[in-house]
Amino acid sequence: MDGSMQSAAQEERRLPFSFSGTGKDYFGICLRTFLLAMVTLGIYDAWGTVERRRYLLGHTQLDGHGFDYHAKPWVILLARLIVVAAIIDINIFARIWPKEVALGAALGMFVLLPWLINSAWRFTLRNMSYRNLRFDFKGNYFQALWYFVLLPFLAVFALGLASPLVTRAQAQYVARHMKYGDAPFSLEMTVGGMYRVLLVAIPLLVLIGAVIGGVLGALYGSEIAALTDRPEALGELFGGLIMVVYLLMLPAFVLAAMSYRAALRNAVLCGAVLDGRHKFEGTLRPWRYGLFVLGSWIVAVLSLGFAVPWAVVRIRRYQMDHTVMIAQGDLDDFKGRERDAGDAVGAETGVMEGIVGGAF
Amino acid sequence: MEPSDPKKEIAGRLFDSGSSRFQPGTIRCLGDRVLAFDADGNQTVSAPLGSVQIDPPVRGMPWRVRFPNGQAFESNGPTGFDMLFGREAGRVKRFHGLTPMRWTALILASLALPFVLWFGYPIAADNVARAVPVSLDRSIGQSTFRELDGAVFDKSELPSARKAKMRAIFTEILRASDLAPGRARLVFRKSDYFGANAFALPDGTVVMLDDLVALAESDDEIAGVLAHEVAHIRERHSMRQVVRAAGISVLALLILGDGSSFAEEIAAMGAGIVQFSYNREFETEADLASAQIMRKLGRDPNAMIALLRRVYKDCGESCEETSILSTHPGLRDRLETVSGGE
Ligand SMILES: [Zn+2]
Repeated sequence: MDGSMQSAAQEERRLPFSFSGTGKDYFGICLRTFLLAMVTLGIYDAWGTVERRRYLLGHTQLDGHGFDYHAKPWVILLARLIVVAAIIDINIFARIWPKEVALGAALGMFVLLPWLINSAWRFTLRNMSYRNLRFDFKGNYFQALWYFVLLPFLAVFALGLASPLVTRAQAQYVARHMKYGDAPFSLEMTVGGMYRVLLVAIPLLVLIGAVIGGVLGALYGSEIAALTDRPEALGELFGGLIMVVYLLMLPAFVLAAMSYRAALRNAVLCGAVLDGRHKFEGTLRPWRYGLFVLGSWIVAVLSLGFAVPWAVVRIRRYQMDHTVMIAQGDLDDFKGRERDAGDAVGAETGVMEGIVGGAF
Repeated sequence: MEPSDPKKEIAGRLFDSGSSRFQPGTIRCLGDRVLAFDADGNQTVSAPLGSVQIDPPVRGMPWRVRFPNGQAFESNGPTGFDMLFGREAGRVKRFHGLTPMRWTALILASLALPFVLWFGYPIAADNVARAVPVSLDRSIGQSTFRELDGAVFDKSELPSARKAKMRAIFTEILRASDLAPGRARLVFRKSDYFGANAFALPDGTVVMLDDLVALAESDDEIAGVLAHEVAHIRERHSMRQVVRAAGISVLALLILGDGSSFAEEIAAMGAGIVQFSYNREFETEADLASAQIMRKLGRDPNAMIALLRRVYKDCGESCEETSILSTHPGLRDRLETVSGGE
């Protein structure tokens, strides 16, 4: 990481990110917006969403300034209504022409997905600002088609072993089309960290699955044997057992997924360069972060959801405490202008989840 | 707009337009204009108060205003904000902060909401369903029947005399049920997958399966089941179920749109349980209608339950009781439904 910019050594500054929000404040915002959403049958949630994002981004601080979020609530509401209307239409048509709709939906997704992903990133980034200067994203349909539809489809044949490579390609696509003002980001990402997590996670999950399967087999083996002549009862029992296995393994899945995500986040941050000079650093320790997130969510679930705001704030603070910008000189000279963020349909379909959205 | 004291100025940070640069600065209100000055006291912007965008303050963060030319100003502390923007600030804050009174009202309203929805929602959804043209029921029913017919139904193996007898009963029931002529038809099929069962599809097709006919010991038992299925068609239960389910998904999606996937899973589970309760409601409605038709025809309304007991004889006590996780009421409650009334 360091040593590459010898000439600017005296100007190099380590700027740690921080998060200054509190669980108490965020709980108040979440409770109020949730109750208002309830009594308005969900309409208010568009406003609530903007308020929650402004709180989380506003308290995310770098070099004495918070980030800001400028999305218009009614744009989000409109997008949600469009998505809901589309879902209803598809469901009605699916009852009349099931085969045609299934085929059409698959093809439609194929055609729409790149557009949805590009518009989701555009909406999110163009509505985000730092020091009164907006971020920017300008996607490319065919590249998005390749990185988010065709490449993952091809990678299926590698049985998941290629997934860090796919993730890298996707992250690099997003980063290279992203700007702060007019200043471009670049990303040269390594995948070693992600593979190291997978190398532990896959045997761990297999082992836990085998242990749970073995215990259940010992407990229910005789019943399964007794039911072999009644396939429908056997199917029911198996259905129940699969549910049990899924619930017992859920914590292990969360742990593995979050550790993987931490490795991804580190790789993205360590490989990202802004404007050819400013670098970043992600210092999460994957498994420790995984345990931290798992613990937070277990508390959130046990509290019947009341601790969710606390968990969100705690996790965000933990992430920011492990994020550093290595700036060359001051951050005064970024230029740019506000651009139309477009509609929120892509952002509201959830296509961004699970990609690089977690990196910031 | 209330002009604030021109002598009062607020110190903060003044952000450039179109760049990440900022400097110490001040703003003040003069008449209905807002003026911003840089550190040397030079005026950098003057804009009408109405054109200045006042972002609702984020708790614990500096408040921020944005000028039409793209410049922005931020400052710590709430007093300056109130002083500068007076009534405008009040409007922004009223919307985003709540007094204890309003909190109480909001919590009470949220507590009342489930009851309003519980009783009001089915009525609202049924009104929507009534507005849906019957031709949509037809298309959905025909498509479902084609699907099932190709996959899980086989040709009926019943003797044609038996079928003719049942068709006669069916016609009798249609006449007694006030259903529009041609709205329902009876077909016979055999299915290893569904076993002893009968269905009503939304297009008006009543499917009678061989295994159920085989278990019946009297015409009244068959007639009771047919009357029940005809009632499903007359009351458009399928379409009402579809509309209610769709509405619930929409509500869940809107209220929990930004929620975690965990919340969504809980909501899906809750929605499932509510739909089971709607299904039980429709079954009871169909049972009541069946009993009514049977009495009109001078037949035994309880006979259907005897047939159902034979169908579920392996199931025992769990089919007798009504549970929140079953799609049909328990047999004991159904017997009460058909034997009670009138
Ligand atoms: Zn029924």
